[in-house]
Amino acid sequence: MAVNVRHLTHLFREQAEVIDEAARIPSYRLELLRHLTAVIEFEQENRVRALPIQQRVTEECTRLGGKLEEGNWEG
Amino acid sequence: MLEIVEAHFQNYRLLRDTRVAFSTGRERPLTVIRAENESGKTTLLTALQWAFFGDDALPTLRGGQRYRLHPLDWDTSRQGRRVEIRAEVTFRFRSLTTTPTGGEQELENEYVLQRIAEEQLGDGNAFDRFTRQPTLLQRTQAGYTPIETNPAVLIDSMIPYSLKDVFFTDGDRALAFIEASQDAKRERVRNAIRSLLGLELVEAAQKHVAKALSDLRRANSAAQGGNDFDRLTSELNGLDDEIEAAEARKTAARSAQARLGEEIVVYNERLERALVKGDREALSQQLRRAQDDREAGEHAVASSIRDYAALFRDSALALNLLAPVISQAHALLQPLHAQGRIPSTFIPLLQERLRSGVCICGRSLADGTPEHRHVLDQLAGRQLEDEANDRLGQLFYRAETFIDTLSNPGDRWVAQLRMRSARVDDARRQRKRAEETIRETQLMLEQVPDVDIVELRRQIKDATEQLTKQAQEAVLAEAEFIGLAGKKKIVEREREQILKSQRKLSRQRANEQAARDLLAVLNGTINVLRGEKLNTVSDEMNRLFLDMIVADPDQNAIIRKAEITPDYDIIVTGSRDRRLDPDVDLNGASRRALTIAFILALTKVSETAAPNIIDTPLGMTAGQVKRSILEAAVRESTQLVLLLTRDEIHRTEDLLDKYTGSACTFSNTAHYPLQLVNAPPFDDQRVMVCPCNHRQYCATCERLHDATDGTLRQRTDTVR
Repeated sequence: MAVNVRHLTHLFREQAEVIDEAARIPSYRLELLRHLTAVIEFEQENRVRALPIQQRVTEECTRLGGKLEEGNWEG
Repeated sequence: MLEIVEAHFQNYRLLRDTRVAFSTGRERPLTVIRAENESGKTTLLTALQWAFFGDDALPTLRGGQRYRLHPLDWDTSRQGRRVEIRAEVTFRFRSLTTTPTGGEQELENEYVLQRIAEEQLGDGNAFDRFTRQPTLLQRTQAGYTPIETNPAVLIDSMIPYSLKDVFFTDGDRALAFIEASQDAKRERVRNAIRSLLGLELVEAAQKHVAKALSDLRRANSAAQGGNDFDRLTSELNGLDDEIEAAEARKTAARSAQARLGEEIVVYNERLERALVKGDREALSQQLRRAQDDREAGEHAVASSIRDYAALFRDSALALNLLAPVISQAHALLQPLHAQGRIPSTFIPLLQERLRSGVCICGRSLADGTPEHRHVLDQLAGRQLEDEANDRLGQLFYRAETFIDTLSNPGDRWVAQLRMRSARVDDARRQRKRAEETIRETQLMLEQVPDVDIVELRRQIKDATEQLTKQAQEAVLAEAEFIGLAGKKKIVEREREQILKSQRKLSRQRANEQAARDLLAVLNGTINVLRGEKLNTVSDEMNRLFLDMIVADPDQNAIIRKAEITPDYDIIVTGSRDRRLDPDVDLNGASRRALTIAFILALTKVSETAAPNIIDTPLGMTAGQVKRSILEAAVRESTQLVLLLTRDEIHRTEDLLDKYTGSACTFSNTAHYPLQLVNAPPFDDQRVMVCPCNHRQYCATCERLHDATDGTLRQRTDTVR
């Protein structure tokens, strides 16, 4: 992650602790952080050159959703 | 961590061909560039910003003028109309990467950033500019090779554009964080904090994830069916739209507040500048009044002169002038009068007796009588003598009439003369005063800038009214936002219940859950950034600020604490918890200390490691405060570049000895011969760079008093 937002990684980790992983799938928090990092990187790139940002962010959400589905999340 | 190793500029304003090496040692992180005013300090700062961020980073000039890059004295007849401006910056970037075993490893790369622009010069000040995309080369074993990704994206990830004013700081401009209107200051502090803490990125991500969640809900709703569920979904999406609209209104109102605050400051500054020279409207009125006064003066002069002249036609003047003669004549005639010789009554008596035909003795004076003939003879004999007596008689009586007046000869007329003469003088003085006022007023009017003060005052009034309206709008939008957010929570709970009750596993639900989880992490992060992190920046700023001013007995006695409020105000508290206005209650040194403390605290809390390049950091400071600011800046920066004048360096030489790893001096050729001792070897205006540090001078940089300055010694190995 970019240098000026590296401190965000720690904050994201702390905040992800509130997600009940037992009610999701194993390693869900790590997956969530990975996709969240991707979202932040898209946002950062979007500042310099215009991206289809909404589409990219929605894709990250559905990819994480895909992980839930693959992990047989029961909701 | 980003470290600048070297920078080279060509044809960038005064930097015709300027190369600067920066200290990269951890032991001595300080680079000192000594330069007097107008010697390229700020130009170097903007040149570095341009190199990293391109044309967007160039200063905006008043009146919408474009900031030119080419040297001001570019000789088109000799050098042509096309100017190529080049910037080349070598820097290192260290980042942490995750190892396969899950640990972190530091990776260092060296890059060369090249930015080139061409300016085509027209007539006068006109020019066109074409700036090429930057080139970023990475040093590899095979030499420098271009990187594959977009250079701008990579650079922004290393040193974001939004932080350009934090890392490249103009000491005077940075004071804007504490010296501006309330809303403008707040907006600047808010933006700096949002940028440095990454809050703006997280908020943008939050907005996009929230929209994704809304879209996914719609899709889910279509898949789930059911009236309640549809209604709640629709309601939830409607609430999202309303919340977004309320937030947009609030943001727009706050931006408008900040903009209006800035406008009011600008209008007030223009008004103050104009009023220093005078109010054109008031001066015009004064001129008209003075012209009326002059006209009245003209009339008064003409009228008083007429009165004055009339005095010379007055009989009193003749009496005054003839007084000795009349007195003398009166003295001579007085005995004749006493003797009854004047006035002569003999002839009129004889004539009267002849007409009555009877003499005073009773005898008849009828025609033909001897008495009648006798009287006629007497009349004929006395005729000549009586004409003289008659004249003398008249003279006597006239003299008698004037003799009283002549008892104070000259007093009355002279008094009149003095009075009327004084009136003429007064009228002339009145006219002269009016003429002087006219001349002075016309002179002042010529100097008054062509600013419509009435219009400016109207603009300030309008802007202030709008500011109040926008403040109300922001409060209303905020209240609406809070209300809608509460309602949304209730609807979400209801909808979640329905969703759970259906217990249908679907991809849509998984997607929605994933988006909700992402949003929860983002919301939590935003709350931490707005709360805890803001407090950390505030505490760190307070610590640094108090460290810096501890040695200032004046300020130390009155300042207890500096902090950043949740509304992004930088406030200072004095004894007895009295709130101080940094603009008014702090001296220049403390204001600068507070600004630099804010910038250093932000960089520290954001964990961003980039060079702090500060132009004129010690301006307006002296004594121990100056030294404390310098020490704090060195201590809190990973790489520090200070652009200092000789005055700023004064009495910090020992600290600079201790921390400086690289130094040089900038001199402007245009300063010869008024300030530089030796003639420069160039006939154009440019910055000359010599390797002299803060204790040296040489043939290139020697200024008028360097040789007698006890802190400086001459360097003899000069290479120009």
